[in-house]
Amino acid sequence: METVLRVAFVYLFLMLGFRVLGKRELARLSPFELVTLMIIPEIVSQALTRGDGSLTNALIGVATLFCLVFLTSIATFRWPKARELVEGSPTVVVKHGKVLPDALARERITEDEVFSEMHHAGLERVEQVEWGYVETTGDLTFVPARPEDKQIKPREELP
Amino acid sequence: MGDGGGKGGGTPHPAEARHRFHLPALQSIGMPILGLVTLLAVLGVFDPAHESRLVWAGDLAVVVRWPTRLRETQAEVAEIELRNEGTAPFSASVAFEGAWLDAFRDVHVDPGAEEARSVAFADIGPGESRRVRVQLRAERSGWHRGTVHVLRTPGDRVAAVPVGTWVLP
Repeated sequence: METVLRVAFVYLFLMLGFRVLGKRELARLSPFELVTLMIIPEIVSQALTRGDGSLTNALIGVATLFCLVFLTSIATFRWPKARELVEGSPTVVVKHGKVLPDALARERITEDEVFSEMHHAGLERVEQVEWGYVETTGDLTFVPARPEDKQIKPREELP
Repeated sequence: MGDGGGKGGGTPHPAEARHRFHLPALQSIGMPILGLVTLLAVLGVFDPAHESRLVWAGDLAVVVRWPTRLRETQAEVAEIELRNEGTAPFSASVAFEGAWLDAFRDVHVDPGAEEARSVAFADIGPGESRRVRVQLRAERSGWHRGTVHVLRTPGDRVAAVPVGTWVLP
């Protein structure tokens, strides 16, 4: 019983924590963020198991975690509000060829990063971008302004 | 969708659709099993459990309380209480038989010497009681059984309580 409650609590806490941390942090981890993510299991493992290293306790913990993940996926699939709550929503950072500084600041993304990703997408100037988003996965994606800009070769095929 | 100045703003987004829920065969079987494991855990099926039993050897009341379910490495205590419900003093001894105690490690019988598997009490007066505490730590998974024997002297009245513990892996 206690293991189930502890796993559920830590799951919700981590989900909230990652949600607060922001999208971009999950897309590309810096060494500092990687270390943070590696330390989290070390901190919570004892709290989860209370030193009970039995196979039974481990299976209960994993089963609880899988059930929570499954229920979360059902909720986010079924109800848009739940999806927005859990995953957030994409943030517009470029609109009609103009970078939105407030949105960049909120996502802690520099203009250099936006331009770098634009160039990866084969877009040279910001005027070529109709919409630029930070997706819920943390990826930067762009909708080109002109139809001919949509015929972009994938990055790996560029010379 | 978040925009620099708020939501919406004419940004492209997918059409609203009512999502239908469908589970593949593997998930239809697997998820209820995982859910059942979680439910049983919530109901305490995998938690430590105890049983208590009262038996008599003449005017000697014996209450044995032992763990019936443990997880590997979990520590617990079994207790045997002897109570003189008669009018004359007597002596009594408690002994553990069978492989029950061997299934545990860090076994300590109190009162008793190291490695003791039996305890003797002399002169238990009327209305008096004595208690034996056995500290246990589950070591081997499986079903382990044994018997707690209590001998009252004089009279040689014997009480035997079968005990058993499931040790979950």
